Amino acid sequence: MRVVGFQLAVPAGWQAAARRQPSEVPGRHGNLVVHAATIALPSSRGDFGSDVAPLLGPDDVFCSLFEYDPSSTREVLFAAKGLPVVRPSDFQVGALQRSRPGQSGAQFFFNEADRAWCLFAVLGGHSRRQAGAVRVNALVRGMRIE
Amino acid sequence: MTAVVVALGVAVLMLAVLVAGLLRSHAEILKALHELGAGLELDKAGPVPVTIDGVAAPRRSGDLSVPDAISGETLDGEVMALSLMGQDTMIAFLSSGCSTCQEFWTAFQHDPPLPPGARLVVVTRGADDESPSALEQRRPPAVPVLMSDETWEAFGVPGSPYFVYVDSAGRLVGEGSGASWQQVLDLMAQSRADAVARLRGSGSVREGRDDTALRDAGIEPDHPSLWESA
Repeated sequence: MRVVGFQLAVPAGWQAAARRQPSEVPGRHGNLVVHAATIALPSSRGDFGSDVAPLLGPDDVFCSLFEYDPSSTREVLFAAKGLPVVRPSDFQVGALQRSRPGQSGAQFFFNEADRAWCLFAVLGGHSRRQAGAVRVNALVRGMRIE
Repeated sequence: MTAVVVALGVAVLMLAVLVAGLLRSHAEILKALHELGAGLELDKAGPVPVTIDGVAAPRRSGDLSVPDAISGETLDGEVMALSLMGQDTMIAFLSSGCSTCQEFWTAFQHDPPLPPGARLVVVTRGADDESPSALEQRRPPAVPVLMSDETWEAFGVPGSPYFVYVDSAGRLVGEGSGASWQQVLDLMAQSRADAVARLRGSGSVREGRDDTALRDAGIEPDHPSLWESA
């Protein structure tokens, strides 16, 4: 998948979709948001997967790569450089905006190519976070931000 | 006498016209057969392409490699990519304008039957060659629709409607066209059964395959391990 400034080699079993954020929202200016999941993505999706998480099975994973305003790269929150490497211990049951039994999430703020990003990952089954982290890392390895 | 000669002359002329007409119609029949791919090429190996009005001809053999993923633009303006590995995928190449495709657009509106475990994806030509507004009127509620010239080219699609079936290992198992969804499902079921049979191989094929594997491992027919009892 290729859009301006971003490329993704979709790993086996994944589906991904990229869109621009609404330009009328202050600070977004048509920034990128990329969703990827091991299930079929519904056409209506919240930025951080609010419509996808309820559909995840115990082995499924959802990720949202959300771009913030480039000026945010100066903030401490985005000080980490480069795409993250996700560990199973990064996933917390309480990290979800709406907690669901068995699910967990992890959030990573970073900067890459002078752009500010958040990677938000949801596991359908926290008990299978080892395999889930491997799948998320396979997705992240296929990302290229320019 | 003169009358007889004139009558014979007229008869010969009429016969000549008749023969010329027959030769002409014969030539037209031969030309039509040639356009259908029959006739002179029948002795050649391989399938004879036949075109039926409104139904795409099978694509010719050539590079049959399958991409790992397909991508294209959705009608919502997103760029979407789907891995073809991990799940059986039926790709329906349709267009908004072809009359035969309407049957499929209609069939896909209400949970179309699919082979077990398979998903359906519709791929149309890119926005330069398609009408997004016409597609919007036809889009099925639960089937992703991608606009992607790249995918058409990757699969060498000869026209629409056209269908390819890729199994979960990313192998092209079946392809072809039909006039109804049921025909396409039957065609793909047959192709999948053929593919399974090919993978299993016949008795002699299996025997040859086993012999080759043993030989590659350095085990010839007189190798002692073949005669040792446990």
